[in-house]
Amino acid sequence: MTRELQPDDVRAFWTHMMEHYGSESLAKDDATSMKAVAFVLDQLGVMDKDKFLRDYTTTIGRKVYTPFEIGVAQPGWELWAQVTVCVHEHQHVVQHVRDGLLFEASYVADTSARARHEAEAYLTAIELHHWRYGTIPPPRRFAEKLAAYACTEQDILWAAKYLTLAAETVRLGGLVTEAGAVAIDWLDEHLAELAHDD
Amino acid sequence: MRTVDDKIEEGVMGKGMGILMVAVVATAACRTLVVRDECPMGETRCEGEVAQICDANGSWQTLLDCERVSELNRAGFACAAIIVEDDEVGRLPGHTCVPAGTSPVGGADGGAP
Repeated sequence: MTRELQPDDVRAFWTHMMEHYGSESLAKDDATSMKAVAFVLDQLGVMDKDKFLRDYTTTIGRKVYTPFEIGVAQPGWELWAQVTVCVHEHQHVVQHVRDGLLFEASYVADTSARARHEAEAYLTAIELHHWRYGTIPPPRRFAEKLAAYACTEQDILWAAKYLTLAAETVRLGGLVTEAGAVAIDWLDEHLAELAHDD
Repeated sequence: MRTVDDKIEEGVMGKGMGILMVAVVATAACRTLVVRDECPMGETRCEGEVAQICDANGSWQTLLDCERVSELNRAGFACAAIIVEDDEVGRLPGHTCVPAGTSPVGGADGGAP
């Protein structure tokens, strides 16, 4: 690696992903709809509303609501984290396009479906980590994040196995998600210096 | 004498009952499908070139579609049985997509618990 990630890199990356998927980013704390979602999730016992608004980027359809200003590093949202969350959220856009309303409905109503959709999106973080550092982060670490989404211990065990097996394909050099492939194509072209040395 | 509004209301009610009937039949059909498709959570298999994993509801789900993985990578990937071994997971048998030509561990047939 010969240089650090810069704010303009992050803004250019987000612009590319949003143009590719026809999505838009919005400030989460300005969005009335996000406050309503936070209230509903809190009432359903899925997630605490303050945590939802502060710590999580959220995608509904093709709208991506961020709790940070893109390209401005802040605690919990360093620049590389903003890149990885961009890819994660755009895998949710892929799910929305692929599965239609069933994606949103099952995400809210069924913890098993929620675990499936989140685990698939976490695969993008494994792909990006492998691209940048040449190693596979522990899949279990991502599966355990599902506890914050009110998923059951069974869902977490399931996700750990799902992520471990799919990560093996990544370790063998494969890209496995749509958004991950689009992201890494762009990163290879524009920020190849950040990739790990073979 | 029936007004236009009455006729519209009758039409809406008729359609509503129809939708309700379809929903009831669809729900019954779905219940039948769920019972028929149950599998042990976490079991994996290759269904053609799709690696599948059984979810917590007892339904087979796509883990990876190896044909799609091949397209994304512009290189051949095939579904195969593997064993992942490391400090975190110990020894974990399952199925996933591997580069074509890679020798699978064990047989690709049947499920892995």
